[in-house]
Amino acid sequence: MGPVSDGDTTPAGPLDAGQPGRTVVIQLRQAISLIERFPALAGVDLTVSEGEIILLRGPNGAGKSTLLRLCAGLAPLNGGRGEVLGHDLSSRRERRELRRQTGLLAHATFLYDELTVEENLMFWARANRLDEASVEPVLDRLALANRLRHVRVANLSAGQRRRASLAVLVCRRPRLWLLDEPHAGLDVNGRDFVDGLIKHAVAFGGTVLLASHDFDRAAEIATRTVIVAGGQVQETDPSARADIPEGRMARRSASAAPPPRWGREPDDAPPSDPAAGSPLVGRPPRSEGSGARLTGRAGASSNPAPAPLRPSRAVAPEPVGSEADRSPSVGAGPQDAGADGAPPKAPVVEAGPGSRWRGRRRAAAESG
Amino acid sequence: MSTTEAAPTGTDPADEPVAVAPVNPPHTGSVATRRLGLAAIVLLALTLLFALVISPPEANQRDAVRLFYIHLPAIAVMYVAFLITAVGSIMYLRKGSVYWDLLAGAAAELGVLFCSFVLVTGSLWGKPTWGVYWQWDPRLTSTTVLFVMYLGYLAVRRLELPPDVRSRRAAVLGIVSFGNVFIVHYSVQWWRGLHQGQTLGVDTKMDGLMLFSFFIGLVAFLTLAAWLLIHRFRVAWLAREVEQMGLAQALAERRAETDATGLVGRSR
Amino acid sequence: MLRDTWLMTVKDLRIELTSRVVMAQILPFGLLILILFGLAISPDLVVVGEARRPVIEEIAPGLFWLTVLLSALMALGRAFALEADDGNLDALRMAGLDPAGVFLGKALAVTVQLVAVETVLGFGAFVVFGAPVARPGLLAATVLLATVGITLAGTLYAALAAGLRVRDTLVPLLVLPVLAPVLLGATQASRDALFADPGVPGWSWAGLLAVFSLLYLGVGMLAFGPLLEES
Repeated sequence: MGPVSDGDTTPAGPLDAGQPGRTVVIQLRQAISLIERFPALAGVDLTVSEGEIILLRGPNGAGKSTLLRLCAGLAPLNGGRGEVLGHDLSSRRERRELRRQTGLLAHATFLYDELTVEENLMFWARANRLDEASVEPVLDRLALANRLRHVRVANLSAGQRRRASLAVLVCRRPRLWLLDEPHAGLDVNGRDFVDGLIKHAVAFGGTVLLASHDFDRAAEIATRTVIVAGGQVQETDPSARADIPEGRMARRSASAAPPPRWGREPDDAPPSDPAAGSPLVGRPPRSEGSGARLTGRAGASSNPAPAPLRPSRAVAPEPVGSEADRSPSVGAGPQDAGADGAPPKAPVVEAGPGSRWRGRRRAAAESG
Repeated sequence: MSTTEAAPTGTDPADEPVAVAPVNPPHTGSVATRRLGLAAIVLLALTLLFALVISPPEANQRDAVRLFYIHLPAIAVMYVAFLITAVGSIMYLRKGSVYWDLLAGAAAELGVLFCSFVLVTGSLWGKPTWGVYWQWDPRLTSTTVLFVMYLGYLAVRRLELPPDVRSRRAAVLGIVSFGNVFIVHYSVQWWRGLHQGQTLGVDTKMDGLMLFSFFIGLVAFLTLAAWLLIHRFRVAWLAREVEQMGLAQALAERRAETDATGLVGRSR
Repeated sequence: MLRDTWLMTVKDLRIELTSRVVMAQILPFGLLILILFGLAISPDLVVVGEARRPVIEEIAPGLFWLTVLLSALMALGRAFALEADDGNLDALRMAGLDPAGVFLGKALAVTVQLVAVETVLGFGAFVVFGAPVARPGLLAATVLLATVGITLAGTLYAALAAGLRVRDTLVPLLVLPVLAPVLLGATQASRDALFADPGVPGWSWAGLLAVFSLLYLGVGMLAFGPLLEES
């Protein structure tokens, strides 16, 4: 069956440009995704630029996990449009490409119960065509290099299992990190590690989407909060960005986001030259080809003057959080930018099912 | 095959208003299909007339030969239907058009229907010929395996999956199953060929009248099959429309969940 | 592709080495079925004619291959339960493995396990049913070709139902009709191998098995991509 849509809401115009000067990593317009017959995503609008850390908030069953799976190229795009890392989600071939560049930490841990932690990591490293030598430092960083490495995954505790899953994710060195409840089930050390990892990944050119119920902790690191409910992005929360002190944004540079280490303070002496690369994140040079391709596509479809995408870790990341980045319309769809200059609090709740969205979309279509 | 072209007519992809007009409820008939149905009835009546009354009993099989006039046309329809399923599956994988998928599904149901008819008439024919309803006759055996195989195909079509995933899996199965028809048929034939069993069939020479009776039966069954296929296809199309309406409804309900969350409009 | 094949095969065999599900559960199941056949078909029945063999010896090849089919269904179910239990199919897709490689890898691992099961079952059948072996070469070829055919076709259909709630009931319905020619070919060829039956062209039947395997090799490699793509 072809893409479905509920009639008048199919977006016609080009996908919007996102933040000026920054590469757009995720662009969703009225994205619909079905789980069996159920529309888990019922028309999502979302734009995410490179280097952002997006916190997805919402009640259980709101569609956060499906949104992450859609961005990972796993959940199908059944309606609307979407582009992630320059790959069109409606094309099966491009989604296949996309899947290799994203990392998903999901409720399922993607581990073989019968194999040991080390065997699992080795298998997934080989499956992802990674250097087997890259496994050892990751084991070390995640404090799995001890006796745990020889324990079968079935015998791990839930938190340890999650740590092993995280290790596979780190091995993959994705460009887009999709973390579903990364803090759940972890002890304080683990949570600190996750936070450090997120900051570190962004410092080295990554982009992070995380769904978390640990609001205090997650909001601490997020650059923007997005509320998901009813299978839609209800509200991108610009105030959350305004809250972030200048200092915190600046901290997100390579020197201020050292590679984390499980159960200990982050490395005191981070790599002084970011070009030397991180021991944890940043895609090995193999992905350069797809990076170039990404830039071309993004430029063709959306960004009039796209910032050339860095071939991952070769270039120092620019610090996030310039003045332009923090304008309230950042990341919001065109309709939101037109309709609410102020934080959208008032008009959100009272409308009947769907009507508000339909009306606003029409307005957006007319103005656009 | 004319039925493949006839099927999609009258159902315009984009804006067929069938779903929103309860005053004039959607139906699957049209002038053309009514004529086709009428033709099928007349032809079937003719078949009965020729098979039971006009054509003579055969020398060896006596009156039992009369089953032949409906048994063999049913076999022909069955194979044509499975061929349409395979073609529809290939075209669906190539073009991604849902028409081909619906056509493949409709044809498979038709094939299974006629396959069961073939099995029943085959057994009935076996009783006077062999003295038993079931014999390890190669055709009967391989047709039974075929029957079960396409039941599996229909089961896959009913899986609770996103529609496009299900269609793609069904398409793969539809193609592979048609290849299996030959493998199963050939191997069973070979197997039974080694044991000199009596094959069900008419080895004697058919005279002109018998041949003509058979021909009438063939045309009648093909007409009937075309009529059934068109209607089944249109029913499938309408079912898909309803499914789409259900989706719109589900989308609206899903979006309405928003209001109950209490999160919206509340800053952290 | 061959690299992915090898990776999957080694991984599956390693899992089998630690879990021993096939060897410790499926193999005893097969042996039990052989015994139950003996109970269902009285061992005292004797074929009338000049051979005067016990019935159970006469039909031993068929019983053996039926047992293999049932065991293969379980082994295939196990092979894909591994992937579906913790969402690993998703992870395989994210790793960008070659679908044809995954197909061959899964099939090869099941083949290895199934050949091991068949070897033990074969000895069991030899002991229980007491059939002679006239042509060991033909028997070995039959076992190998039939197993490859079963696993290639079986892997294709098991993947089609992998991760579905109805997997356990759907796979037999899909696979068994398809494997009917394999059952025929393997039984006939084994008859020739055991009894040197002059009326049965054993090597020709083995040839049918080879053709079947080749066909499913091609179909599986082509079709596995669309099947693995979404689930």
